[in-house]
Amino acid sequence: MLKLKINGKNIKAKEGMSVLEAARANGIDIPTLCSNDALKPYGACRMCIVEIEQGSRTTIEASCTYPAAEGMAVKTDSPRVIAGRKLVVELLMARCPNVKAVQDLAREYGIADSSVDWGKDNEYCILCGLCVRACNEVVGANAIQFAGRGAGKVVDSPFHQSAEDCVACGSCAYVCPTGIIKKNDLAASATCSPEGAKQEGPKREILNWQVEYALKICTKCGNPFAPVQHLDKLSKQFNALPQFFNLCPSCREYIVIDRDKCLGCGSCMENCPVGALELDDKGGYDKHAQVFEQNCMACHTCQIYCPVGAIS
Amino acid sequence: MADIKWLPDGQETFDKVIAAVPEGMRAAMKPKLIEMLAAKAGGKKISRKIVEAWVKEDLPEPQRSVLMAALGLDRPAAKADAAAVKKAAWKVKGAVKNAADLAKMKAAGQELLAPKTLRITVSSASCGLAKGAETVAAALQDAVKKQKVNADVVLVGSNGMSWAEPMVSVIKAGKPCIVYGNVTADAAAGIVKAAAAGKIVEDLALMRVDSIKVDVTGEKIKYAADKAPAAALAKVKDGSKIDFFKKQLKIVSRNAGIIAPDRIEEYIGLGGYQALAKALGSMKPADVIKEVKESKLRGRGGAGFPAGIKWEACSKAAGDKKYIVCNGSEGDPEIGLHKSFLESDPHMLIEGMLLAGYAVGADEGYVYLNDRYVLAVERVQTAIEQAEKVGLLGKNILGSGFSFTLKVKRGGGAYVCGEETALLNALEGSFAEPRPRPPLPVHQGLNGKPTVVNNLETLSTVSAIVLKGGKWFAGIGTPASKGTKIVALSGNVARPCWVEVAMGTVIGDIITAFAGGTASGKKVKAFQTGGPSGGILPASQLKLKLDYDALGKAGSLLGSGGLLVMDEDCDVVDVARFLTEFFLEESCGKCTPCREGVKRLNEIVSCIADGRGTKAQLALVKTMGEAMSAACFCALGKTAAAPILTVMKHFPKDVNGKMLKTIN
Repeated sequence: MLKLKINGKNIKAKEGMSVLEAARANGIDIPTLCSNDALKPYGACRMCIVEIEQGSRTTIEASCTYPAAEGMAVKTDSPRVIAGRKLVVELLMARCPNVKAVQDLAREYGIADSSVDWGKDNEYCILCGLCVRACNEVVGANAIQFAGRGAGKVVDSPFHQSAEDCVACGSCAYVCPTGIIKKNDLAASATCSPEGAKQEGPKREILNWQVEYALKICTKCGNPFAPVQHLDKLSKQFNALPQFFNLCPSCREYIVIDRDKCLGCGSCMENCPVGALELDDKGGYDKHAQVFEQNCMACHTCQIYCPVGAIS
Repeated sequence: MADIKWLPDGQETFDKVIAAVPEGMRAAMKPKLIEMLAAKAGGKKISRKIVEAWVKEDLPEPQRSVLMAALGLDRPAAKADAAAVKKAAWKVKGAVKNAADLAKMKAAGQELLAPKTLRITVSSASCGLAKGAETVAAALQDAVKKQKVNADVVLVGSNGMSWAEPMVSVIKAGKPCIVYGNVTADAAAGIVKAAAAGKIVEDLALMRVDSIKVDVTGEKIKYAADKAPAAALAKVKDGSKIDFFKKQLKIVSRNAGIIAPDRIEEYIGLGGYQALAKALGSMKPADVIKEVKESKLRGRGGAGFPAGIKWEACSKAAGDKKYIVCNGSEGDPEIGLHKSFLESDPHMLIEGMLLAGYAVGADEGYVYLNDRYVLAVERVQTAIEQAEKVGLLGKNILGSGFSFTLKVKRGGGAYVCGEETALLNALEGSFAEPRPRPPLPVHQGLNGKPTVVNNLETLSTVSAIVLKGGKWFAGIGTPASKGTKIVALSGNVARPCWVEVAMGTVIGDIITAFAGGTASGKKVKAFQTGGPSGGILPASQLKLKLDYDALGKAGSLLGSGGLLVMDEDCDVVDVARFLTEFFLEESCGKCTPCREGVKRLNEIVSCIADGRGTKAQLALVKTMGEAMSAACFCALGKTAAAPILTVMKHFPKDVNGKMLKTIN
């Protein structure tokens, strides 16, 4: 455990925690725009800056990337910090005056409008990079990336063409704080051509990356639930059975083990793709398979391998 | 159509034209194009020239430019072969496997530097080449051939006197070396003739050099006997006595302009790789670090972090693999000192990197170079190949068991790559954006392994320190800044040049002694040190010393050693605008305050520079500058407002003159 001070309050933090994490664990709020618990810290929005006093040095650092250390004194609202944050908000107001997340921050910091001496844009993207990082780090699709640099920087699909590697999972739209990533699920669609309109099934489109994929329909309830490409990627990733993604999550049946029939032979455990089964060994003949439901994907692979039909 | 006659080359060129037409339209377009071509030819046989002229003159845009590109007409024609220097690739003989081999090659190198016949050198770094060194060298080669003189015409680097380029030195056994300046191709025959006869072309002679230093230890190669010079010689100034060299302290750049950068023997001849032999032979890695720490050598890239402490941290860091990276990005707009240095003496850097590798336990190094420095990249590449060939790079160097490989990596020349973490990202093939620190590169650098990133000047200094000891180096300079610094003088100066001076030299003296004051002859109004991130300081600060801390206190920085001089007519506000625009172009765009802040700053500064400034704008620039220095990710953003802020501080009159005049 590390001992440090934040705003004069003595707090404890675990080894390896960032200053931001340490502050939040102790109920001290630091505003952020580009931080997400599922992603590696990036340090780009500069909203989370704090003043850190370590030994004789006092520096301004981004709390999301700076590791907490023994004996440091942190100030989250010193005048320099507030001035820096105000500049960030003001600059964002000039860039994206119509984004609610930015407007909220501006209200919090008492900024009515950006300076009159600046030009104004009407962008929506604040370039926090959450979408890019979610796509690369969590989804692993690497479909979108930053393009350009400096003032011309944008988030884009490769060469501004349709993003080939996009699986339309929608993670980018989910994490986007501004709502500018347009993901639409269409119940029915039609492609029009001079020969007439061709009716097609339900589709998902993400306008920003110029992709449009058909949605898979659950074989049980008949509702569309996820893009085919996304499910293909997942089934490869988890090495699941082909029929696994025929059902939507709500229709998926989790396995039940009949303990009277189970011999404890272990073949289900050997073949489980996600390791959701384990042997409950109480000695002698009292051996049974048991399932951990939080891990189970309901792929029913074990059902095929069970020699006595104990799994249903 | 039957009466069209083709010449084979005409047919060939026309086929290229047809291939450039989109496939779907080819069949339809072909007869039409032939018809147009026939009209152009007017009955003559169609040759390549006619097809090219037709594409160039008759076609409308954009077809014209597409076809011009297809035929290769958009590129400038290759230079006439006559002007090109006949440059046979230098073949290195022998290998260096131990200290005895090194001594043998040293003798061979000295033989090349002071031969029994005649050696004529042409300084051909970028500054020389720009002023026609290549044609001068070709003319010299021609003259040598025609006059049947036994002479070795060598392309060497620059000795810093950029204003006197192209320079030619003549070294004849038993005579002092004569340096000619501003040589033209027409004068070449005369120089060769005079050299062969042991005479001097007095109009062009700049100076004479009686001896050159072999290394920092004091050994010398003497060109001439000590007797009193002949009458003609006495008129030529002694090089060691003219101010330009007398006031310099050459440690890093001691070989520049003397040795041929593409001959490893000549570098070894002047004491090259002796420091490596010493370190590998009699010092432990910890001893090398101790010497560097004792020398108090600070990073020459800008931040001034002590190199020894960096090396020690890296040597102590846990890791199975370590790297040495040389930062040769130099993205500053107005200076090219590292470029000139590398073009003149690339082996000095290689030796420094080998020493760094030995000290921290690394076995791989990268030289990250600005790709705009085409010649420097080429010469470093050649130097590495030669060092590999003789065995000074690779496995088991000098029989010590120490192995080191070196690669050149070309970067796009982004200013932000001066930031070491951005450089590492670029080296890994990612965006040139800075990484958060900690972790520091010495703990997690290139590919997540401990890495030392040093400026190329820092690395090049190390060999002298190892050879002569850290104490000697720490004896030069000021208490806070030790050693020497290469400074490039540019802007409004009479003689643009680059020089190496001891730390603590007064900046005003550097400008008057080496650059000869301003080109316009007017008083110096302002100067800027350290590239775009440095402040613009007024003439009253000319008494400042070249020192990390003194310049830092004055609101500027030593940086990589640029010194930009502005005279009284200079509009400093406009200079600030230029520099803010530079930052706008060079911001990587990662963090909000820099990306957006520099954009807005540029709007305001442009407005002021155009004469439409207001008091509110000045106040805004001030608050923005303060907030940006707190909030930005890296030093680029933190210092982006420095030019305009220092102009506002030191030149209030100029700024007031740019205020909007309103009629009340």
